[in-house]
Amino acid sequence: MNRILYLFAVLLAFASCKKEDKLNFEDRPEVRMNQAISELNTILTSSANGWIGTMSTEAGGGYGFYMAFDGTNQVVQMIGDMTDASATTLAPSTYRVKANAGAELIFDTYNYISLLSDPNPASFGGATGTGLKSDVEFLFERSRGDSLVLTGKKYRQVLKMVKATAAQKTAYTTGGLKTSIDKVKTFFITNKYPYIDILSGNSTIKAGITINTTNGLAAGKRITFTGVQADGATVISGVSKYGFKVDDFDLVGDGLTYNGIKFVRFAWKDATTLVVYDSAGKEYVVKNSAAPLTPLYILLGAGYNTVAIPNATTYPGWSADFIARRATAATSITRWSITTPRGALRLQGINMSFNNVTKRMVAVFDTPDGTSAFSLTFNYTYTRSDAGVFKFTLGALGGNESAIAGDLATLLAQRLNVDSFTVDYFTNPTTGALMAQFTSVEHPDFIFTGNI
Amino acid sequence: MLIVVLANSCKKEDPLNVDFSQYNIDNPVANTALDKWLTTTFLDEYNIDVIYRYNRFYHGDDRDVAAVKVDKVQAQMQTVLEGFILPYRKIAGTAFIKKMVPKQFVLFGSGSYNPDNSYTLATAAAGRNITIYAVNDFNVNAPGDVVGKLKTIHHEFTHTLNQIVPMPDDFQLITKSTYLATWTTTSDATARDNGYVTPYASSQPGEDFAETVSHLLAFGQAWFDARANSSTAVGKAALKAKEASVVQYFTNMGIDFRALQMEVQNIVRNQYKYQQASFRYWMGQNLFKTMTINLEDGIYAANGISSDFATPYNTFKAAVLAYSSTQKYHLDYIQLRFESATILTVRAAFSNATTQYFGDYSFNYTVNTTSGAVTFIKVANGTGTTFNNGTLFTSSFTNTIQAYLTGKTFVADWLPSTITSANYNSYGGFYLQGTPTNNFYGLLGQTL
Repeated sequence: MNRILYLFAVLLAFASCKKEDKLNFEDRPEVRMNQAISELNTILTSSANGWIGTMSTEAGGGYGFYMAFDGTNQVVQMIGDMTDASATTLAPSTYRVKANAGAELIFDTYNYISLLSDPNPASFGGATGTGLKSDVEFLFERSRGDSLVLTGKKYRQVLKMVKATAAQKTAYTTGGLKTSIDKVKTFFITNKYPYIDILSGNSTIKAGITINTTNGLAAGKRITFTGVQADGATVISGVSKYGFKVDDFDLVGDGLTYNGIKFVRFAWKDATTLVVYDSAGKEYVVKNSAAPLTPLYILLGAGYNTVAIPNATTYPGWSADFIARRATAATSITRWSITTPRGALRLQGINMSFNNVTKRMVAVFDTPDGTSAFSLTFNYTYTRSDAGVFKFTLGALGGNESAIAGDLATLLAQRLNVDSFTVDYFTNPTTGALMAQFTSVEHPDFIFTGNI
Repeated sequence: MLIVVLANSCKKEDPLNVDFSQYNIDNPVANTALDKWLTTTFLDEYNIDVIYRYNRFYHGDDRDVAAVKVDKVQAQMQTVLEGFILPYRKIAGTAFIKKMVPKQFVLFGSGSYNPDNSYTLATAAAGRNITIYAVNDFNVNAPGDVVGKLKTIHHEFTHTLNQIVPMPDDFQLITKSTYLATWTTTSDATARDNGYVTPYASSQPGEDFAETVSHLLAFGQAWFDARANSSTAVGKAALKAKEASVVQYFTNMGIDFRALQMEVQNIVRNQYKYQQASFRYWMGQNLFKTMTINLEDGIYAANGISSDFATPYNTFKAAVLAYSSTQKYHLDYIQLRFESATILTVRAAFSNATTQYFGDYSFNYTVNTTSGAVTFIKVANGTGTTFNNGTLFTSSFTNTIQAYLTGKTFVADWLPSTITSANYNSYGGFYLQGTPTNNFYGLLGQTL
């Protein structure tokens, strides 16, 4: 026993008293930190023709950039797809690389990328205080071959960069990005109802494509696929943010998932053929439909949630009967006033919101009282036949609605509350805007339109 | 036992020696003309580090703040230099400004937005840092912007001074009962009537003090007086008491606040050409109700008076004296009394051995607040004792003072240009359009 103890003691002495002259990592912290900084600096300047980048913002859409880094002076030259000016004018600003949980690239004076994070709405829209929720500090994630991946420090959006070719550099520096953006915009103007065919089981379903090229917070710089599943009734949709590049445009983030397929990129197959690729590299040609793909009755409450009847005495797509009945109602409600002396109620727009899950429709009559907002809300449930005929049933009325409903009888009690309606697309001949047009089955001369 | 000893004897690894001089160096390349200018102007001269390249650390993690546009940096810092550092340097002394000036100026492009969507324009910290936000909005061609920024810098430097020399206790008691932290809900009129220069000033005494100082310096005395005059009686008294407390605070530090105010205002008036700091603007606002001219006053010996005005004045004075060999009336002064934005009474104050009398003459006048053009038009005199007194010298007045004032276009300006700080805020005058040497000026009063 003693012997074992001695042996153990000797072993312990050897094992535990070894001086730790080796570092846990290969080098001292300051050396490794400087290595990380210098590694990223080297990568940034390693592309002779600069980088093409795309990234998402947390609150807004996606954006595309061209960046060329001058390491000696810490100056980056930038192009961005935010505005016509930013897409055509190369702008310099400073950058630097700093260590911070790895190497961190900081765009440390103002450039196009700063617009996305600018908290002043006057600069680039966005929300007061947070802008589009984006970063100017990016943590280095990885680089492989020609690609470089960085992650925004606060909002964790990924900035993916790929080395540009000499031809791409030339294109970017001579206004090519705007040309590319304009080409896409023109394509979607020319092709009013673009879609792709997708094989789903034994049938082919369509995905209608809508693109938003504005910089709006909630919907800007996003592309949406909407269509009906193989059952012919279930509406599905997918949305993704995208950033323009000089010769195509990328769906940023996780891409767009539609019917279980992940779409990642749009590109031009030839001068006029736009195609979209899924993550497996499969190509889908964007075609144009003569009319909207999905019958409007399927989309009401499941894609198009509101029909806004404009504030007008007459409007494209309104029948003479509707115009007369609206005018009667508008005149009739002027006998009401919430408080004198602000003045009489005035009928303005009528907003119908649909929810196809709960089968509810809410019609809100905007009836300001002088300069003060005032509205009347009528709640309906509805049924929709397979052929797309709507029948609305009026629910309980509020106090104001109950009192004033009689004045709106020409529109409600005599029509909306009792008739059945079909709905179809209507193109505003003046603006070209797509609208919804309702027609009464019982009174075919009662026809009205609203913006969807 | 042996085991325990052996186990204990094993020393832990030495602490790892990190060379912090090489650890996370953040030293941006600074080789542009701007960097050189900042270095020679601020770092070499005042040991001020101007940090304009974005660093999240300086604004805090909870805010989103945009980086500065490089082309805005020099204009902003030039304003700091000429509107803040140099006036202090001249009046308070080189040693004072080099010691007191914050050693770190940090610039950001956007405002630092508060949860209520208002935004912070600048902050001062620890007596050594001033952070200026919203520099990207700085428009060097918009005097209002420039003066607004200058006001902010003076506001922050006042905080810096307060962090080194505490603000006076008496100041904090003047409107003690009306401080309200939720200042964004306080209207400007309420703040004014309670005796504050701004709603923000009403948030707490520290901000009040800084706002009072910065408004007196950047917006000028006329602005402050107009603010006080438009307040309630209590509010006006409070504002004037705060002004006095501010002046005393600077006096205690050995700084002539009036001289400092003059230095800053000279930049604001002459270089930035800030409309709201011009005499024409305040003439248009009818802030100044009287302008009193007594050529026997020493101010005219010190600053001179143009003969174009002195000749009719002295001719009239001689005529007043000649009017009665027994009374021997002496012309004490001529006073322009701006009764309203259009009505002017010119008053001749004259006295015999015992009593002073007023002789009045009625005029209309017009002011163009943009160009400063002023015209005087003689109208029929009013009625009453003073007008009756005026008739004693009508013919002489008509040929001298009235002849000088009417039929010409004058320009309202702060005159004389050689005024000293003691009288800086209290003299103004008019010069003949196109002929600045033909002018007159007088002591300004704000009550009739």
